[in-house]
Amino acid sequence: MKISNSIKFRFAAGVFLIVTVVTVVLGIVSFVYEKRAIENRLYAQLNAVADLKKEMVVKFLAERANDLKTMSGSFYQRENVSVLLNPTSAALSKKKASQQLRRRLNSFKNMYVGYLGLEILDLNGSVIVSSEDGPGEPGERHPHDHRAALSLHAEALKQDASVILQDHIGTGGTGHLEIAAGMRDEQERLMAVLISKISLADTISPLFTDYTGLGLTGETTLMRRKNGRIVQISPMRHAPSSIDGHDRYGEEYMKIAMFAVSGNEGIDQAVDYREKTVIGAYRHIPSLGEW
Amino acid sequence: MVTKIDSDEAFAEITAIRKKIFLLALAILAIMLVIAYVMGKKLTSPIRELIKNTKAVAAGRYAVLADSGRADEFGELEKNFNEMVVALDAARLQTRLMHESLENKVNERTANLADANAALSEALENIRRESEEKKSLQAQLLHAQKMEAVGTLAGGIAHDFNNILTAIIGYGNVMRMRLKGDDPHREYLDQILSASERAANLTRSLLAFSRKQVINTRPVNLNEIIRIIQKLLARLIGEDIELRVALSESDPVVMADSGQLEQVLMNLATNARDAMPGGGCFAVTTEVVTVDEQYASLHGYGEAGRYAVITVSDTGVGMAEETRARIFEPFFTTKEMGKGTGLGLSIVYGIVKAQRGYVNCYSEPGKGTTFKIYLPLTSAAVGAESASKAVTPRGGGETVLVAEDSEEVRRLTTTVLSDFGYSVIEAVDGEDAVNKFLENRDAVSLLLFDIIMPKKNGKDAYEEIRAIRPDIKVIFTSGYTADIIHQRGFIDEGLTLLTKPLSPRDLLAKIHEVIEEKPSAGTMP
Repeated sequence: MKISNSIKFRFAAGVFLIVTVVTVVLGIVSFVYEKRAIENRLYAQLNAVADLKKEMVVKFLAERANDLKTMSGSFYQRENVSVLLNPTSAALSKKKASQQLRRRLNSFKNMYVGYLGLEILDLNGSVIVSSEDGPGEPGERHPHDHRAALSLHAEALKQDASVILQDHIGTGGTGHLEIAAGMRDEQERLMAVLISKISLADTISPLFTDYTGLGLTGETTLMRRKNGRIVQISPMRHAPSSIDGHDRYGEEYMKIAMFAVSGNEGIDQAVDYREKTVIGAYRHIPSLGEW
Repeated sequence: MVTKIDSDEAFAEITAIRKKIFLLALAILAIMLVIAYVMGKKLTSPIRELIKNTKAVAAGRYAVLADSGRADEFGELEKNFNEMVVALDAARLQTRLMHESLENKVNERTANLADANAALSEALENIRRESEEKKSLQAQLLHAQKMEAVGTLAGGIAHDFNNILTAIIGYGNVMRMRLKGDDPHREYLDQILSASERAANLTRSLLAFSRKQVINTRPVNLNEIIRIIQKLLARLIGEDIELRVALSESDPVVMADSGQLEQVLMNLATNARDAMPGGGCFAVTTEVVTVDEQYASLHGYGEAGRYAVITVSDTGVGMAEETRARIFEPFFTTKEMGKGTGLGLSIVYGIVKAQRGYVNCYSEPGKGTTFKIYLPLTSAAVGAESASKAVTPRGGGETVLVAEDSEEVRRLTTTVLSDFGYSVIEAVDGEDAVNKFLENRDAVSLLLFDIIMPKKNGKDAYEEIRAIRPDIKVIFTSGYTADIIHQRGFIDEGLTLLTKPLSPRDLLAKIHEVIEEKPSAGTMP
């Protein structure tokens, strides 16, 4: 008798088949539930990290904006800037006012970590006074031409808002941001702009080089829209020497980045600059203008 | 801002879980496979046991399953199987008994059938044998009828011729007795008598064949006859042929005429000699056999009983079957013209038949011939042959009434009797004899009547005379042998009969003997 015809074989095969089906079904179901749970946990974790990073960035920027606003609203500062901007002021007064302002700006600079320097510009983008040596004489142009940026953010500045005027990004999360706040005269008219240069390496970059909760491959990238492009500000974990990973981002990654800078939030799958498939939670940081 | 993590790492746990689930599933399946196998084995072990026992039952070993103590379906199946095995065993036993009974019946029927078959075969064999016997008997009957017809013809001719010869020889003898010793005609008369004797011998041969010859039967010892004739046979067959004689230990005694038996042997020896021109062996043996009814019927021997057998064999040229079938016919011969009469074996046949015997011939061309002569044994003692009377007795004037229709014989008889002292009254037939007796009733001492006569035969005439004179003595004469006469009821047993041709000396001796007897009836010769 062939073994395949035996009851023993058929029974064993039947039991095996039933158990296999049950096991496979149970395995699949378990796997699906487990996968979903893990995905949910992962998404929750990513969202939590993203929310935490966002909050920290927003808070940092809000603090810097408040700092700048506080400085720009100081009476003493306003008087000195008015002196400097008044063509009729005496040269001595102007010099004295400039010195006082420089001292005051340096005091601010040294009061807060990450401040590389502060400058007061007139509405034409010329440096009125700076905490640093060099440009700072009245009528002297700032090495970085701020006229386009000032023009761009003129309305916001008039509305007494703080804006990120420009960024200067280096490798490995270096570089700085220029945050601007308007200064008003006695009639509350915008007369000048106070700009603080904040070191990314000392302020924002550490937020993004802390990979706690992101495993071995996870990271958070900070980007902003600049001239119709997406510019990465934070350092890249897997390409620390690169300045901007924009060109290496895949279309899907760019899509979720666009979602974020366009004011959307969510989580999705994309391909990053390493051409690796990643799961990314994108967040919008609305408080600093065109970001 | 985008917070991202590699899918590989993000889902590493899922992958690990998937692997774990897969491995766990494999482990479960493997365990279940083992469990299923064990359970299957355990499940099918009673079935295997059942299969094993089923095969054992099929092979004739009716073993029940061991009680496993199970209370499930297999336990019930085991119980039912055991009951079935017990029932099958009982059925098998019953079947075997029935088979044995049937086999016994078959054997019995087969034996009956074999018996019936044997009986049928025996019946068929009997039918075949009876058919062969019938054919043989028919052939024998035809042969006997043919031989009888030939014998009758030859006997009739010989009878009439014998009467003529009786007259010739009788008157010749009378004449010779009356002639003087120096009579010149005596020589012619002797030639006539010699020729007449040869003619008489030929006639006797024919009569011997036709069994109408007078035979003088008495108890004879076959061995003694052969011993006496042995030298004569040796001379007859010549020196080139070896004679071998082997006689039975006991002397077979038969009722026969010794002279005729000698003639039989001599005729056979003559034929054997002619069949062995270049020499050979001629053997004569005697023995005693018992012939049962079947054998006698098959070979036409007539009666069952003890027979003396004379076997005469030669190593001569033998005979073909067609020749062998005709050898006993008179005048049938294969010899050259002038070398044989064709009567030798006919005489043998006639003599043996006359002795109530039988003769068979076995022959094959180139191998020789064997004759077997069967003669019925008799318990009578062999007596000494009475010496021939040298002197012819003469009468004392007694009157003899002679009744004979043949004038020649009648005259011869009258002459002989008259010459030897008797008074003769002649009668030509039976009625004449009675009349002559009435005329001379006191003078007549003896009646000499021929049996066959016109008007009234001898017997009837004798009866009439005896009614008148009961003590009258009589001698009958006839050309037929005594057995035929008695067979046909012409005369009663005990009356004297002389057969023709009558020898004067024998006639005178017999007349003298009868007249000298006491008044009671005479004896057969």
